[in-house]
Amino acid sequence: MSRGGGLAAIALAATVGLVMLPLVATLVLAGFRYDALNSPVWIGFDHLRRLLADPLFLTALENSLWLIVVAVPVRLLLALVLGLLLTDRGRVARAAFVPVFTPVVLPELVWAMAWLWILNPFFGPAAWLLNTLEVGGAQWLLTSTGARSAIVVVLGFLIGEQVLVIMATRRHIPPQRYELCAVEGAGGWYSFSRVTLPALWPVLLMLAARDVVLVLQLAFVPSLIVTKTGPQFATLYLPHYIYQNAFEYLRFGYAAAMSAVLVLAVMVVLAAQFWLLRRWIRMG
Amino acid sequence: MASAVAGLDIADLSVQLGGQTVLHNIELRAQHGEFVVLAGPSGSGKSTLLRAIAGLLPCAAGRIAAGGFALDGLPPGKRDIAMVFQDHALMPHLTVAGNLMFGLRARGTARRVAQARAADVAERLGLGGLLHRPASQLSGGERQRVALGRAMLRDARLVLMDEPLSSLDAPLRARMRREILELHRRQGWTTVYVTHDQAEALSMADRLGVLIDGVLQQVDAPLALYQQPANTAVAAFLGQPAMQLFNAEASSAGVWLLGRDRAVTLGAESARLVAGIRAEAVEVDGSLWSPLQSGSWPVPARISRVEHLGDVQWLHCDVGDESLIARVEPERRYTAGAPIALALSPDRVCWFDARTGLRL
Repeated sequence: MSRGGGLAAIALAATVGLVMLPLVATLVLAGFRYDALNSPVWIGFDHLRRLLADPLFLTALENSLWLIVVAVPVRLLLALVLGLLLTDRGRVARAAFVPVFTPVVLPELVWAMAWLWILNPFFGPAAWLLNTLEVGGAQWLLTSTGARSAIVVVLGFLIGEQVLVIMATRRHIPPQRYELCAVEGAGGWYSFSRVTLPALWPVLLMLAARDVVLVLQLAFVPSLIVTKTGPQFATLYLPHYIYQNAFEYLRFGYAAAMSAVLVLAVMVVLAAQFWLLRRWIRMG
Repeated sequence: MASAVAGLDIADLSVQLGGQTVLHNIELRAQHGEFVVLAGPSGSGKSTLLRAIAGLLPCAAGRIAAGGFALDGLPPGKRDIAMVFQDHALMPHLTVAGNLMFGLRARGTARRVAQARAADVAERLGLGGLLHRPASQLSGGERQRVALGRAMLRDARLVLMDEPLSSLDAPLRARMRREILELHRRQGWTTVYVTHDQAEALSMADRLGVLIDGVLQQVDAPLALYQQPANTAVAAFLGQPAMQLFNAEASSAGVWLLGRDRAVTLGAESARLVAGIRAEAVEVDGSLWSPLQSGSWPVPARISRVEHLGDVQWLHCDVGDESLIARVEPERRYTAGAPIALALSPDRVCWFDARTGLRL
């Protein structure tokens, strides 16, 4: 077998063994009551019915959707602005790249501990800033909107990868297109909207699609450490609730049912984005 | 002539990139309506010069004027210049119409007006049926026409073309050469055209400038450059094959060239010379194209290789330790290894000073 064929076989085996099989197992497990101590009991679609009546599940679902709707566009917009600013090959841009990219490579726990101090409503710098600007004061950090916003702020700093992808795409745009803009006397907005943005669209869409899944993953540690899923479950997200049900309450079947719902929801979002992306690519 | 306003007037222009001077004291004048070609090997600074004229690069020193207006210090958009790029610089997501209108819309021309003008230009370039096709689905020639159409719509006092044909295949290049020249005449453009292609340079130019190592070596009619290159750099660049250069030495007996003393008076200061010989200037015994003339210097040689291209034959000959290429008609048969009598007419040899490289 050629080396390429061998690598493809390993990749296929990994995909089947680590992604497809667990996915199928999850879907099957969703139909059982199972606590890892006694034998699983088949209960059909009972878990789904219970989910709809579970206020914490509904809260976690709502929180998750809120996070996706707010954090994905904010992160993408930030990454776009930073990516375009940093595309300049000057010394300032190169220096600025370090603080932009560092949070991504920091261990999550270290990162979360730093935010625990920054966002502390009594002695953190964020509280000092809010008090100084008098926008609601530090008390705001204790409200549910404040906590949810804090998570978005934390995620807003974890955009190094996206910035990198946007920079790489931007640098691939032939410079002659910008020279043409200059010769034609086109303004900044004109060349951004007619040259830069059209070339970036497919990549932005792909990043957005990936981010729908990624923000939920990225929010796991900060919501556990910084806000402790509070106040009043305001920052309880589905992955965390699934984790609690499976490994703290040993409700593996119930957790599997929630995972299935989450997978389904994500698939719907991805399908919509994939459809859009294909239309864009066909248009060249 | 006081009334004639120069289409382009570049005086003492220098450009620095990254602290290095890449263009040295460029002097270039073009009449209104003239087609000026800038040729040179890659990395010689041709595109840099074009970008300096367009204002895309800052100039370290010198003045640029077009149509009597000083361009110095003006941003590119205010220089009234159209530019055609090497890769055409079309926007792949826009249609032909959208690409044609790109500049008009950037300058705030109303959509209706821009559409009408784009449609008119497309019709004249034979792109009428393609107005609504995305640029990504055009052939190379069609892309080239769209890029030219965009320059037509610009209605500029100066048109700059940066190797616009280099991405096309050979037959299309030959046809587009003609189309670009026709367009240039019809539109009354003053055009500066950059290329590294010999055939384009020699066939298209009203006047040809050869740029080597950031220095504009010579500007003149193409034939003048070909026959009387100002220095060895131009001689070695221009022509296919280029002029063949041989070391020569002046003495009391004449000039020592290709194994013999040749009787010639050059009035050169230095004894060390370089002789430049075009392949078609080499006379070949029995050849129709270049028969032996009386009064020519004999050059006994041996054929080392025969290169037959169908319409022409190149004879690679050994003369002592040197190698000399001669051009002969394709009909006559020559065999490698055979001795052959060559000759050089003294008035068809170009002489250069070996130290300065300048023609005597």
